Amino acid sequence: MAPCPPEDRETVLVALEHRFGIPRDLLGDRSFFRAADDRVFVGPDEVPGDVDPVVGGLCVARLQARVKPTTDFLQAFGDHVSRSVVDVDRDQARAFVAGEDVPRSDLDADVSRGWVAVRYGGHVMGCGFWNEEVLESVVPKGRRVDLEAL
Amino acid sequence: MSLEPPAFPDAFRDRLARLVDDVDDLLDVLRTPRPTSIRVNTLKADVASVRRGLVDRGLDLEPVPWTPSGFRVQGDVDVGLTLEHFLGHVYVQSAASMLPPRAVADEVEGARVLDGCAAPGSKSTQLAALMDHTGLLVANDRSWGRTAALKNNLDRCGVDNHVIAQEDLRHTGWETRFDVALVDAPCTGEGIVRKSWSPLEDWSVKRIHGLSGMQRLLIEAGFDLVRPGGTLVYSTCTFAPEENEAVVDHLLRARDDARVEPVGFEGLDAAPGVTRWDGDEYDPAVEDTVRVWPHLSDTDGFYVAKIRRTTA
Repeated sequence: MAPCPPEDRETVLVALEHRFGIPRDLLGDRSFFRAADDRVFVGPDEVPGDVDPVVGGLCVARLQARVKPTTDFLQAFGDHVSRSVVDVDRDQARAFVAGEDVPRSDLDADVSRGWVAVRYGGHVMGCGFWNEEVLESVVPKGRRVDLEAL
Repeated sequence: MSLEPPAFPDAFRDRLARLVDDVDDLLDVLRTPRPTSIRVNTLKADVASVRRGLVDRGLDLEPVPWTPSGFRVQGDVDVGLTLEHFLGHVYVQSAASMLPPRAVADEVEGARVLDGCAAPGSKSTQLAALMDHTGLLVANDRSWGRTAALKNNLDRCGVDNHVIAQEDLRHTGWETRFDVALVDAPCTGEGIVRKSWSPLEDWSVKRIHGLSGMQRLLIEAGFDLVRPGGTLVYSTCTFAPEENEAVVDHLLRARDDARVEPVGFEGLDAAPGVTRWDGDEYDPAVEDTVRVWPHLSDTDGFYVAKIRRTTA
């Protein structure tokens, strides 16, 4: 776990504000870390040097061509998301959580192609990709579940 | 047709009869499944709304007296398959395992906290909720496979103030000292037979003694990682005094600056630690440690000791 280079941190903060309306001040004072791959984390402010962690903090996003927020991050900070939100109904929520794609023809015009926060019952459930025809679930395989109760 | 529960090993039964007056009551309860319980993850949700939501799904919730966010749950819905669980608003956790973090509930906010044997993460996520995004939580487990589950649970619960270390607690080499450390030690698991019979399948007194040796090293290592004035909590889910009071007694003999602190839990009908076992006499202070008996509290069997590292 290494400190996140300032330019990567800036890329993430700008993308989250631009795409999702998450105020940059919300995370602006926090400590960021970068894994060896493309993952950026927000973590504790102080980690003793001799404790050599294998990983830590909450993964905020992956630095892909479009910065991709994680489902864990969107769930934790969902109350601060104000743009690129797709509200789903009960059956669609069930499909999304199971990792299935959700056909949609009725999305608001202001949701453009790209990563979206998927919301049900007022709760952001995770990250999806809106390709202008289908809402693709990108819930990690380990988090997918066939819900009994919604 | 119902299956007869397997028989308890004779030596296991005899040992319990020496620890409690009402051993048949205890054994009767050990043959029954334990109640399911959950903890609301206050990092992501508030207790009242989650409670309301689960009740609306037809579940009955009864508060766990010693944990403001804990509930015993009854009903036909598997809590692990609810939206609340997917969202990280609830964590399925046995009511007894909520006790060790409660022993330091007032000491962890803004603190440097170590969970020394952390996987799969029920106590780490509970400590994180008590810390409320402040301080540093080091969740350590030496097993690679188990730390994956630990990380998943911390992430599902939205814990952002943690790091995961993968050290053998006995040999960390760390000079860092913690305000609070929890050692929830690997044990024979006698106390969790209401969940799984497997601890009794390879149960033996020899195995108890083997684990006791390892637990003595773990409690020493955990204590040595606590700063002067800080707190160590030692816990197990077993009844065996060799794994409980004898381990604490060992620490008190090995470290002059270790003091047992009395700890009470609201609404818990528990028993004091035993001071004599198998011809050994323990430091009288172990009486201030806590034995949790399933027939008294309708939980798993558990043991909790709170130990202060003095500043003198």
